[in-house]
Amino acid sequence: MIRLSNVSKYYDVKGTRHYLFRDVNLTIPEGINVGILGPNGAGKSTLLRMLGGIDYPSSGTIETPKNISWPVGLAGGLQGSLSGRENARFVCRLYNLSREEIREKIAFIEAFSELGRYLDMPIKTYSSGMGSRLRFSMSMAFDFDYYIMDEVLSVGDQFFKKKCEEMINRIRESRHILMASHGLPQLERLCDCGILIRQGAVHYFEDIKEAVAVYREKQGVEGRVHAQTA
Amino acid sequence: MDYMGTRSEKRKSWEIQKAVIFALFLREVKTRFGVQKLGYLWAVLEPAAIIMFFWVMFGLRMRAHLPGIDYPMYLMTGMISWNIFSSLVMRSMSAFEANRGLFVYRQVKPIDTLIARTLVECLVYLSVFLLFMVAGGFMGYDISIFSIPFLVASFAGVVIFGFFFGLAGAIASHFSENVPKVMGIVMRALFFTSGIFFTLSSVPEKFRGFLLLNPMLQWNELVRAAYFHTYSTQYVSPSYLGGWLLGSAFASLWFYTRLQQRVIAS
Repeated sequence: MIRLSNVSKYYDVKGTRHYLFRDVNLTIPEGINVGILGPNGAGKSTLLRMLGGIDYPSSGTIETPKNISWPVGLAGGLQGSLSGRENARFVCRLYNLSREEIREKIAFIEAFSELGRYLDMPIKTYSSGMGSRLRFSMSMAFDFDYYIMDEVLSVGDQFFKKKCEEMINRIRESRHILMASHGLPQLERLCDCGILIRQGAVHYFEDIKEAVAVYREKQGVEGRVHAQTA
Repeated sequence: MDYMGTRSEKRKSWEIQKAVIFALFLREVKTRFGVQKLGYLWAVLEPAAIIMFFWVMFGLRMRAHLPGIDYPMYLMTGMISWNIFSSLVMRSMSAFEANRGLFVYRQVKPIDTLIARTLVECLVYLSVFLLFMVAGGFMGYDISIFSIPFLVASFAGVVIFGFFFGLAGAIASHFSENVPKVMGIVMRALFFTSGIFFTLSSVPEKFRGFLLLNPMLQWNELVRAAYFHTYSTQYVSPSYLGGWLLGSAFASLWFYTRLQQRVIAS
């Protein structure tokens, strides 16, 4: 369960407050996959980052007992002069994993990324596709309750993309995803419920199909709205 | 807001921070020392080279300057103490910016990157120090240390002072790009007045009070008093140094705790 209480997020632009969210109250129930949709700049990424604890509401609180990933595929702070393996080991250490666990994760990353001998080469020599493979595999290697995905499936070649989607499919059954995407069919396929962000208002739909339908129609939001917005 | 989620909540937050700092430390050691062949050697030789340069410039000439002290060793202790301070401060300036990518991992806090760097600097300058002890021994200088605990404590003071001064600088430079430039000028001024090359007793008395306002001069005096048998702490004011230490610690932590979220989210 993730609970947002009176969450507002604003930026000061030349002395005036520009609100992204205003007094959002929302409870995301246990055990479901969440799709987040809305036009560009609506605040999908900001919402995801706040859920992941790497951005903060201007006021209000976000509470969850769950373990939430870093944005999948966006493993940051990797060192170009170090190899993929060394970078992966570094991230494992950040999560305080034991030697045995680290070996497991690295083995997974090695198999899933299919980087072969490149895994032992400095990542600054990687093509962008290889970088994506490494980063995506690293995210998948860790056990989180929720995986944050921000337009994650727009990278990599067809082959790897398919593999990723299969992996996400597997994850969404045992653990869960919080996903923002413009790919509406994909959201319908992978998510259970939907959060639609429009003009500073956050609307929650129990059924992702409904959220997508409303978003498609681009008209006033009606129906089962569970979020209270000011 | 919760800290890390149930599974991890059981781990103490200090456990998490320790793991993060250790990971950052290992990575920094690896990137700075380990990448090229002889990387470890270069990591030590690079800071040593500048000291070596001054050794050759002044050290060999100005010998009979201080009773019972070999001037090159005097120079070396001051240079190391100063270099620890200055590299902690100057490297901190870009630390938050350079490590921004790391803040996608929610357990990584900006201050952790500074702590890890500080530990790496300690390792580097400990090696440099030992290198110069050996070199000094070969040159036939007196390399005996008056009090090792006193020396360790003095260097620790320099490290802690540099850390908090650097933390303050890191926060300030996050919000204004002028700060690193101003700090560069300030550091240069401090460099020439820190008593690296001269002894305070060789300075006319009327200037001494003014020079002693520079806390690094006093730290250097303290380091020398710990290192040399015949050097005294007469010019060091513990309350002045303590004031700087506590003042910089308190001020930097006060600002840091208030601005941490903004640094992470930016």
